[in-house]
Amino acid sequence: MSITDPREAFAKALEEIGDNNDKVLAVSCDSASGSGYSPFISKYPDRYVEVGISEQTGVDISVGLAVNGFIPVISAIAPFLSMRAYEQVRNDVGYSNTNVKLIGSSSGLSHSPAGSSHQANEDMALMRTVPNMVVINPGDCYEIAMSLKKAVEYEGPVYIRMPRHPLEDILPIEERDFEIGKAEEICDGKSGITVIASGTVSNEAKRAVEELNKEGISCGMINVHTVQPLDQEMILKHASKTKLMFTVEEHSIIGGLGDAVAATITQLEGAPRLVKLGILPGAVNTGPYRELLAAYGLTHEKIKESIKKEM
Amino acid sequence: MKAKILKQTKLLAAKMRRYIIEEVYSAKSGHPGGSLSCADFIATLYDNHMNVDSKKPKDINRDRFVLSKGHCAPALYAALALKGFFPIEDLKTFRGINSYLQGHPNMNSVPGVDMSTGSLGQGISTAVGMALVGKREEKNYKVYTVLGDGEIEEGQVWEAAMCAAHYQLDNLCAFLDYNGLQIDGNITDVMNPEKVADKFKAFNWNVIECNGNDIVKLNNAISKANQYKGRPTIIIGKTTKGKGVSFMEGKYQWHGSVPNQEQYEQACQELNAVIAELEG
Repeated sequence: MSITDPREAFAKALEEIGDNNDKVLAVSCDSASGSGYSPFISKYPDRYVEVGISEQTGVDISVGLAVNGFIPVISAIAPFLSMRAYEQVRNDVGYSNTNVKLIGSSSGLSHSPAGSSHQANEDMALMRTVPNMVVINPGDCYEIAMSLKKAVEYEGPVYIRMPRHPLEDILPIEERDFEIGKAEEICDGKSGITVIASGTVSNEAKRAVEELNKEGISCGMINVHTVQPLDQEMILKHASKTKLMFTVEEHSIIGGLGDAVAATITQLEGAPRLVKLGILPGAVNTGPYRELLAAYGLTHEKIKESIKKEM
Repeated sequence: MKAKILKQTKLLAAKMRRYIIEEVYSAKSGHPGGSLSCADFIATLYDNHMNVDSKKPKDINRDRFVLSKGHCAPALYAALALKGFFPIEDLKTFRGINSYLQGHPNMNSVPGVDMSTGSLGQGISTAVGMALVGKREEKNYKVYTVLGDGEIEEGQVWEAAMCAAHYQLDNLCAFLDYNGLQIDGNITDVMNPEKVADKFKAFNWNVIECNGNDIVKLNNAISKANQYKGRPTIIIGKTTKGKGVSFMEGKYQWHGSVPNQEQYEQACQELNAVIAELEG
């Protein structure tokens, strides 16, 4: 049975990566247990750097490690890493193009009951504007493991948005081939509708598409794990035969997948109409994870409703 | 410190000051005041302590230098040019279009610059990261960083200070360029940082206080820092902002102002006289 716990998937992947590359260091902002670092730290205690609750210094210490040949993997709760330390990321990781791997843990609505301070609904928007930054938004445990593996192999800055709640595989592993910057076509549609989804809500979107297909509404679907660089070729291929396009993301509708897709399809003459499904800016709400997803229209039932409404 | 060596370092500092004025005047922008105040420390360091080779600026065993107060790039650029890292004539391109000598140092374009800096408080954290690598790799290199006294108003400085002491980074030496002035005036009026020495002691640092414009005292302080074991060292150097140019000395207005032609000529005259005397 495949792993469904994101932290377990991250922990296993980091341990394996550590086995094969002794330059990988885990940098923790008092986030070791929460991030899934524990197995790596138990095995390689001398490759763990604790910086305490200080994301800004943590990012810059990681830069100091990176310019001396190490591959720091720094993890902190997503809003604190991507927002409190934004300027350090922008200057010293992005502009300086240093080999730092940033793990925004418990991203999106993961900490839904904790309220807006602990939710990260703008992290992709911020990270997309950082020069040289690769932004990956994994949606299942395969994508979590592969994004970490590929990020360490890749020379340069990477931000990975790490989910917290259990996830089912988007596709059977044997059908997959993870490459940074490449999207996956889940299905091709015949009704002129394409759904582009990323991250934790890809499965929700996929289920909505499957149900619509059963009802005779044949939608195409693309799964996007790398939001930057975006697989423009795949997006344009589908956009050229689409009249109505939807983006689905557990993120603000400003600056994330939706806007990245919008900027891409405007290149096309007669571009399809685009409906961005995500979190409305300024939305402040709390509650259990799935209830909050539903409140923001991001469960499969709500996605299906939105698609039917816009048709 | 032998008289001959002292004279040589004084000459380096004097030439650096001359080029600092040249850079700022050419660019018609930049920060002369703080660059002049920290010139003696940078000159002492590069002349007597920094284990670096301009032909191998990325040597893995070199000492590292991080100008945490990145706006004083004119001082660092002058030192690096005079030490042969790049041509002296390039200093005139400072802050110009397509120049690799940006207003704040860029490690990816300037030979000899170990870290890009500019946003205050960030440099010292990267220096902590470098010193951590030195420890874990059991390297003998030292990591030096220069902080501004206004810069220590940034909270990140204290995060880094806590971390450096936690990891007992005795291979890290910070210099605090305590000229007492920042953009808007006296630091004690803008945001009083006192008691600075006590604060660093409370953060578990080894603290050395000295005249930051006295090369002999700076040289001794750096030697002591490098011998000290178990804790990072900060040298709190009392300096004069605008040091070496009479009309700039002790005036906060010269933090980021450019001399006009008359002022430029006077500054050159004063600094050239010092250089001529040392060369004589």
